[in-house]
Amino acid sequence: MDPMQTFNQLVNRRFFLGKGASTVGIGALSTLLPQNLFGENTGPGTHFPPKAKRVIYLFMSGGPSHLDLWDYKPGLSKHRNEDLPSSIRMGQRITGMTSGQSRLPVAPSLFRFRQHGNCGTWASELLPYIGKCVDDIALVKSVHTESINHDPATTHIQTGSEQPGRPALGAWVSYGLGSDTQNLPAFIVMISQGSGNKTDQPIFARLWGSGFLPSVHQGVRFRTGKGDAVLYLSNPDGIDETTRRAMLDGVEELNRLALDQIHDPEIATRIAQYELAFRMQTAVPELQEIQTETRQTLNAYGIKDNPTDGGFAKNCLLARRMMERGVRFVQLMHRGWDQHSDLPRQIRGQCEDVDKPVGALLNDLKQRGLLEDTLVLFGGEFGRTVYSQGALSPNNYGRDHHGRCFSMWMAGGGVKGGTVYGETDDFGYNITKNPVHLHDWNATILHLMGINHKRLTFRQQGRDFRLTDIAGEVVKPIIA
Amino acid sequence: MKIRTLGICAMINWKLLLFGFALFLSLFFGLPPRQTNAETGLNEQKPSRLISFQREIRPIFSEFCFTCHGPDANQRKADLRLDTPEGLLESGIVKGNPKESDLYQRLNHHDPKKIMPQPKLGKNPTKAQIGLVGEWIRQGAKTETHWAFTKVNRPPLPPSVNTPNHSPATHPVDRFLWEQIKNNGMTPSPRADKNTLIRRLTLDLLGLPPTHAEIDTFLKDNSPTAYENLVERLLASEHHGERLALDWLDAARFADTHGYHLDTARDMTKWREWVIRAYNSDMPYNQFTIEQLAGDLLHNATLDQKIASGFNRNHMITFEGGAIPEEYLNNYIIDRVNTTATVWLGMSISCAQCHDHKYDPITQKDYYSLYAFFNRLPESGIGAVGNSAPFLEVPNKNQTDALSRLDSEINALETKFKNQAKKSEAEFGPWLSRFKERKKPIWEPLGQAKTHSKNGAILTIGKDHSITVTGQNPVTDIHQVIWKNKTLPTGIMVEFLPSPDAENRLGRSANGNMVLTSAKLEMVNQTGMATPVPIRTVYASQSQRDFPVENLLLPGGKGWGIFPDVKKNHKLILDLGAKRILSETDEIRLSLGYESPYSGHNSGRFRVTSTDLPNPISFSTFPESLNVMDPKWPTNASKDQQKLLLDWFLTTVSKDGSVFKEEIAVLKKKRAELAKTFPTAMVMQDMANARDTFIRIRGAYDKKGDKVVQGVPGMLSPFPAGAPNNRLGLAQWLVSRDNPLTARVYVNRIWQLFMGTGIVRTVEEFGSQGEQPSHPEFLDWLATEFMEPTHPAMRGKAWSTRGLIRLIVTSEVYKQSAIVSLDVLKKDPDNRLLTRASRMRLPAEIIRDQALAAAGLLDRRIGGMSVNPYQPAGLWEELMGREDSAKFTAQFFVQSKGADLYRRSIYTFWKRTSPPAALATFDAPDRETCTVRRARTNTPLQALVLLNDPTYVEASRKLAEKILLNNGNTQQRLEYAFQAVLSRNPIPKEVAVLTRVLEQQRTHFQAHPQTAARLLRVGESPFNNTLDHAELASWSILSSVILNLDEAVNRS
Repeated sequence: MDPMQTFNQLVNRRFFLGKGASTVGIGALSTLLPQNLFGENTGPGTHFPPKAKRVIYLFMSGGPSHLDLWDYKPGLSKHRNEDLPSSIRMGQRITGMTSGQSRLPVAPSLFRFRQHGNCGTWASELLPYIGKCVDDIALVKSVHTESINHDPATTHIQTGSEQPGRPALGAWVSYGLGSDTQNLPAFIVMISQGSGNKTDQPIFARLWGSGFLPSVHQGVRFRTGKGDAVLYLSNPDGIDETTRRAMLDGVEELNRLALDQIHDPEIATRIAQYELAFRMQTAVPELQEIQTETRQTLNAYGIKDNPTDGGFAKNCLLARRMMERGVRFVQLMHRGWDQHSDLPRQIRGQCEDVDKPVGALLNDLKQRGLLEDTLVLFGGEFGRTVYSQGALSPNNYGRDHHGRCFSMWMAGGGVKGGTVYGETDDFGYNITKNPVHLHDWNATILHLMGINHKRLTFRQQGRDFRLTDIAGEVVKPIIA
Repeated sequence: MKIRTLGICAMINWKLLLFGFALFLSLFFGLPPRQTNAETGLNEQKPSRLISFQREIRPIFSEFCFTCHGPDANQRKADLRLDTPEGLLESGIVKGNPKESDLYQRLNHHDPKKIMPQPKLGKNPTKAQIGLVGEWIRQGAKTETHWAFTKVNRPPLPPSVNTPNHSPATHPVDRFLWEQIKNNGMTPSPRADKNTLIRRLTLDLLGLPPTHAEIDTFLKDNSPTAYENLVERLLASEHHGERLALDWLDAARFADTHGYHLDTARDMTKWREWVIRAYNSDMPYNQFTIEQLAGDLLHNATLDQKIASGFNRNHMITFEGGAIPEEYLNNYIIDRVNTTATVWLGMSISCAQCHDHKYDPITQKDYYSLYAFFNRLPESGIGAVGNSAPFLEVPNKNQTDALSRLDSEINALETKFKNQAKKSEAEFGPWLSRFKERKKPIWEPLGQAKTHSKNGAILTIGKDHSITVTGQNPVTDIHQVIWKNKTLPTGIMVEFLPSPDAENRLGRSANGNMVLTSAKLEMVNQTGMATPVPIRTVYASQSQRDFPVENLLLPGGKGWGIFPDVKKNHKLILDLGAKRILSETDEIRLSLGYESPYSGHNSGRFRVTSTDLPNPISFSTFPESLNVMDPKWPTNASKDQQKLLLDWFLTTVSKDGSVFKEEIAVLKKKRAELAKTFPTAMVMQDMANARDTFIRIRGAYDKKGDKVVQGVPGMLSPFPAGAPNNRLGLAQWLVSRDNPLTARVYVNRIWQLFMGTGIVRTVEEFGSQGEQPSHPEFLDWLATEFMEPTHPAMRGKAWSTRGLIRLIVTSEVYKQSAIVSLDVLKKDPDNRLLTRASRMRLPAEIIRDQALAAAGLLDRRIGGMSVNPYQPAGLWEELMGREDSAKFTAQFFVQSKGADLYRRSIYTFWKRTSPPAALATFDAPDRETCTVRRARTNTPLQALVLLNDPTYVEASRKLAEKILLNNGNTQQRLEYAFQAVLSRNPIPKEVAVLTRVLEQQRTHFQAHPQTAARLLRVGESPFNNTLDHAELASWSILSSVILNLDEAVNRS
């Protein structure tokens, strides 16, 4: 009997005995293990039939202003420069950055809004391209979080807890559903720098970390600047393809000799992982070859030779290429959305970075029939205050962090396009209808992927942990 | 209920655990799978054994019942609790008769409203489990307290066991384990060969591979104590402390950065050195515990003991703008409580942060009573860019010497100055009369002045001559003030004042800061022609870090900033040199530029005054409280007031005095700069008047419930009599003989280190929800032996980590071969019976250290600051990069040079938000929170690191150089190479493969000399140019093949 076959069986056996975690690698899932991850006859890896098989999460790090982008408040202009009524603030806590201000003057958005599409969703003039796609978008204006500062808020929305140590959404999805590709990681992260704000907030590896889940589920940073897209992907200087192949053959032969003698199934896994690494060395550069795309596509995304958007447009196009290749979860992190001051200038820069590429991405996915089962998510860790931080002048204002309501949207697989869900008060300060906590938001994402968020658990220190902690209700009205 | 197909997710869920558990039982007790009645789940056959409440029944109740009928009083339904013996008896158990017992009936009930657990909870026991409960009731429903909460007692040693491959067991470890193996009809493996043993032992004890000479010595040592000698040599090595410290650093969440937000650098080097030293001196674990939890509270605590207390300062710290101090203070304390509980009690008690624990008898009040011990530090929730208070300065010898040298120089000068001052007093009288003759203030207001803003702000002059800036706040601006005067002043003072229009802060930006990038003074004549007046020097009463006022003298400089003192008046003085007469039509124009990249960082209010006195900056220290211009002064002044002015005069005006003063100032500056370089160590410290501690309702930091005082969960063991009611008492309680957990938890973790898996696999969880120990009696024996040593290996030293390790590694169980037959693999795939040695993938750090050691590159210095070995460029900058990154630390990755590139990995700089990439790929944790069990994964990304990371490519080349410098034929060289990494010689089949690879590569590189040269240049160490390039390149490839072998990254 072929030793690999023998050991595949052993690995399977170990797996069923609950020890699989340490033997499983990216892609190894599909070769060594059965696809049925949750049991029952509901299709691979899900609790019920999924509407979306893949995710692109466009995370706008820093906290984009819902008042200047999505949550249209025409009535605010008559309250300009008035103090925020205490009936609205209701004594709620605000950050240390504005809690010392003697006044909280209301700052209406300087930007015009208009209605788009058949559904008539309002969007800011800053988002002409995304605006055109509103018929595919479910906009939620009533997302809320308890966090009021960046570090806890980004950690909260990405991992379901303000405190570090929990797995990110993408890691949970990788853990629950495994990978659809043999040559690429299941969960990929791409980072870009905003052009609107050069002193913006940092981000952290924990935002795509695997927490207490096996580390194979952590997001793999895919870098589009200088250097290898995947760390250590390229052969070192002086080692060409022939040498590499000869080395790998030698390593494999020696590993097989060890396997024959020692019988540790981990050796069989390692043999497979070296082959996979070799395949990745081809698959990743192929993925990166965006020059094979048509000029029309490149123009649609607005990819320039010397991008001012910090690489966001290119990352959007790469995200689509990853979807085509079966990557489960792609997270784009675009920095620069923390507009404490000089908001009008900064947010214009930020929107110029993202509007055109995101519009193009949605159209591109749709044209290729991918949007049907790809879920696209857009938003940041919180919104921004209706009152100005610092001086309010005719052409300028800043806004502090605001977690009591903010806008996010989703489009694609299973999403009811053209919907607007949730309402906020006249000041865009409190939710007046249909609140969606970030746990609800995350529960909905998992639901669309065919996962019951209450049943996707991992036991750690005696407790069964979930992404949604002990909360989370699926937001049914935005589901098609 | 049918068991569903199980898969990835389910592998850790309860069904599998129980499945595994059931298999376990049959393994351990040699039982056939139990036949159960499909209807009732009741075992119809007479059981052949007694059901263990502890091991079999309690876990079922914990899993399915405790949520509603457990320790949490608020969630308890029907006033029924099943976690105590009393509660269980009240649940309607009829001993001996399951069918009459309500509890049993409820588990089987046909009525969905009555069946327990309620179906909506989505968790149901299997028929087999219900059957076990029934059987337990039938046998009399005996109960016991959860095993881990009962005091540890020494069980008797099992009888010696004969096994095929060994002489009869004498070693206690073997007696316990072989008994279990024999009961399961299996046999232990034979002892591993000596090559395997020396590699295993050296990697386990030092985290390094043995050298050729060490292997040779061991192989040649045929004495009966050869192995023991090896053990002693390794235990005495300084690198042993480094190996043990590695796991302790994970547990202590040690890192080099703060973790939150900008993730700037901290420096806990001294604490890390303390840990390594403590292990190297085999500090008893009870003392190790006390010093780390409460070293600062010990009587006459030494500097070292205070440094040790830094254990609980290793948590993450924030200084994010806008963070609420109280919220973070709460986070830090929670982290200390949870880490302390996990490390010493082996329990997560974090559930009790929000409510009474659901599974174990820990109440929310217990939780906050522990919290109170850690709520006494003089700290704010907002830390600093670097080490945050409280911390100690820990200068080294050179530094303290330099400091005392400076101090004596300063003292000498000050004496000289005092003597000189007496002489200078004579000059004072005449100077004062001349000064008063001026009859005007030092700083005069401008009189009529005009103002202008370049970018449209409104500048309004008020009655107090201050200029308030209102209207729009442009991104950048230049404020101008224009006035006339008969003479050009010698100095200009600009006072920056809080503006009511800017939240009573000085600047108009969001954070109240302002950044002045230029200050220009010009004479403008009638025709509008401007002549710049050079500024000799500038002075500011205060400057922002990294934005010193001297920046104003640099063209295109970063500017002068004031953050964080944005509410306090700041003075800026420009020294213009000698005064000059101006023509009547000339105007003076002052331009203040705010043209930094920081948007809207403009001044909100300022006042300009001028002086004609020479040396204007000296007046910055003039005692303003003195109304010197009063004609009656100094007659109406007090002695003190007169002295104040005299002192000022002596230090600033008097010629001789000012010379000394300048010299003293230079020395004092030197002293301050020196002190700044002193390393510090964050430590614990208790305030005399501690904050009150309150229960936090549902864990929310701002929702305070009842007040509590510090105390320990008494259900575990009583607080030691006479112990102080503070952290020291807490530490003493943890290491008291009565504490049921501390010793069990620690010996279990050390066992895990050598066997791959703990006796309790969930090393982090000993509570009801943790796994049962595979060898409960042995665990208790080992824990007792640790506290009350009897075995010679312990050398009579209680709590000796070294003794414990000696005890473990001298057992036959440790020395077994790892080779496993397919048959045994099927029977015990997880090796819970330890019929063989566990093969373990090496920890990330040891994989790297091994390669560096084999290559002869390793720098073996112990201790010191963290270093930055190779890492792909840009990893930190992508996450953190901002235009003002230079203001903070650890924002730019600067690769180390020379020997620092090759230090042991325990010294690698650990940036929490971007942990060292290659180490993280091999499961090194991010160190954000406490880790006591690392994952051991096997991924393609690991292959890429070993194949392509310059660390390993360079190590391959250096190893190749060693091989080639070691004369011999190919066979001998291959043996040398194999020994360097695998501590053994290759077998003929391996030699064949290696020779083939070598010959292929030799041909290749001989044909491509350029390629060979490129390979040899990877890494910063130079290559040995005396060696043939093609030969060196092909042996480099061969070395890389060896470093990539599964065997190389495993210890077996």
